[in-house]
Amino acid sequence: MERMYKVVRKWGSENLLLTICVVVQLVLVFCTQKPVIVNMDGIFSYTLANSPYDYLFLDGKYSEFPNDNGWIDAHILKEHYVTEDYDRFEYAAVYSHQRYDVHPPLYYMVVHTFSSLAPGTYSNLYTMLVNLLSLFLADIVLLKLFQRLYSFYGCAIVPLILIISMETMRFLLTWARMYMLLFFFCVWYLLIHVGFVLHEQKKTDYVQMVLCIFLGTLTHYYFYVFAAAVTLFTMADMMRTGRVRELLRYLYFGIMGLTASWIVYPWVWFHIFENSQNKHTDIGGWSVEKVMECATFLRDRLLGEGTWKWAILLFFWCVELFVRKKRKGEADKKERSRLHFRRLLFFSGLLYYVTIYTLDGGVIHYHTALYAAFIVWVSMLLLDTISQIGILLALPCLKLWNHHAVRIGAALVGVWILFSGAGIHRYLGGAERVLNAVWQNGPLVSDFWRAPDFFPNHNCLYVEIESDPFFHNFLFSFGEYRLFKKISVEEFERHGIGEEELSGGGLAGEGLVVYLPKKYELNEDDYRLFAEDGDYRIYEYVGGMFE
Amino acid sequence: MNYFVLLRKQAFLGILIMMVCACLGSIRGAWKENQEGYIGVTQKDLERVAEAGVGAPEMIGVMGLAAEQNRWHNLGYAYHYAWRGVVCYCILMAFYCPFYHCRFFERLRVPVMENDEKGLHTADDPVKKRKRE
Repeated sequence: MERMYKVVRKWGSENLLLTICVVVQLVLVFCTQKPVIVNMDGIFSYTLANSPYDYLFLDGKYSEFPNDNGWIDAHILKEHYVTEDYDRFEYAAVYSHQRYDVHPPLYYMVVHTFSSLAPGTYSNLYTMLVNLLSLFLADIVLLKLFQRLYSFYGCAIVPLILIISMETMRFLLTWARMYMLLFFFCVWYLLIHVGFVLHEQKKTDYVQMVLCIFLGTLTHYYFYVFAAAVTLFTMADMMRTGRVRELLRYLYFGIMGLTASWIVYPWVWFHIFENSQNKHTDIGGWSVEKVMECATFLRDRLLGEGTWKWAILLFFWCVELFVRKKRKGEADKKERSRLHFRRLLFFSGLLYYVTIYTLDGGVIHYHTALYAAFIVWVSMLLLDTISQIGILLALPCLKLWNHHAVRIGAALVGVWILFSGAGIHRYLGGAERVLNAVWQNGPLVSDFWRAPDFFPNHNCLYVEIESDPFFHNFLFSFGEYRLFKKISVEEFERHGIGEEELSGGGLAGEGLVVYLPKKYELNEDDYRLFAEDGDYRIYEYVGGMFE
Repeated sequence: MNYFVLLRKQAFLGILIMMVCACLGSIRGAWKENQEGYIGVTQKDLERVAEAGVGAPEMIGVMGLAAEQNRWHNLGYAYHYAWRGVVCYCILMAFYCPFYHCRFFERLRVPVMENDEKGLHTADDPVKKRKRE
């Protein structure tokens, strides 16, 4: 005990507090994501990362699959989203998929790595681990960033709390896509630029810049937009202060990172400049309505839907501006540099937002870099406002106001006022559900999504509403059955499910499960309703003709 | 200025030229790969079908294997173009070497507008400095 006390004391209460904060954050996200059902985007992530076959949609080749009266081995479907012994750590396959897709390959390679560690299995844990790893790295970067800005690690507690308070971030953290990884690279890019703005850059900053640009551009193309915005304002600052040599060095290392990325992945040229998948072909112009929509989207995504919290934020901002004006000339060099960095965050975030909104409109995940800039900006605003108010009022306890603990505490109150902790409540609700399930051994998802667990070695007949490469997002369920067959709604309407439909393997195995659109029903004597979802019902065949 | 010393001294420029050339080469290679079109099922796939046993993909021979779809022209071209970049750098330095101490280049090499606290132009012109001395 005494030894532990010594360790804690040596390490410092500040570090301990931050560690607890990071651990709690990771546990909450872990618990929340556990019951998340992987949707179409998740299917994209797993199939592009793990399929050993070339980039083709399944329904395009379905008719060529070896079959017996339409029944195929369901393992063919499973092969597309799990790794097997023959394609573990096969990064060339991932690279090839991404050449035809419109995203760079880094995220998929990471997912493939996690999947390769457990061949033959699928779990949403794999993408969750990538998100958790990205969150952990982003936390470390935020610690370093706030240490550089305020010379005190503890200030980072404000952005760390902010990350799990924002509903939008909760969405990104629990989503099986590359946006958390992009978030990490954006925050890292900001950390590197703190040195340039504070005139305290080190040699390692340049090396980090090369690495960050290299990896960031291999994660998502919108990293280019964010990096360009930040770079533009940093270059303007360097020119304003006459740091030409620094500017040249900065450009040199920037070009290094960019060329390294393009050497490894030149397909970016075709994806962006040749518009290989015809994206952004119908970009609409700006109008008054679009400006209003844009402002509403910004408010909803950053501060919560339909809230008036923007008024409080505006109030904080005005107070800070007013106080700063009053104290003009009194601010020290570090304070001026911080203000400068905040301006850089504001304008680069705004430029990024306007660019992406013009290209894609209000798509939540495309604005990830904006959230990164916003989290750092709001944290700085709150931390600075509190200290500014204290200084202005010149309270007898002026020194106390300057004290970091008071400053951070007051900033956290600001975070609570702005975000009401709604996100944290939802995390706690999700965690409670998961922990209850763990202790009481209960299910985390509905029976509908666990149907393959109830029917091992059963065959599956799927009545398809329309041709869909992801089988109405049931791909991961269908891959778990023994044999699989799909028929169209028209075929079902013509002759229902007769013996001729089931011949050729349909009646082999333990039994049959039918996925039927909700507008149809099956004879209750032969089929038992097992579960239902939004569009489909699952029936178990109880007719008793099985071999 | 000794040519080889100059080469070593300006190595950062050489690396930049090499990287830019490699980048252009990579895009050129990707362009070529794009022109050649889709591969699909390869001879290697078919050979694997013949010896396929437990642990082979189910659809081998029907769908092409993704790993075999890369021709890697981009990396091959990048490598060759990088060497061309090195040659370009050597030639450039051979032209530059005799003019290294030329007044124009000396001025260019000066840390122009080195920042001070006010951010003003404070660095001395080396030519004027030499004259003063």
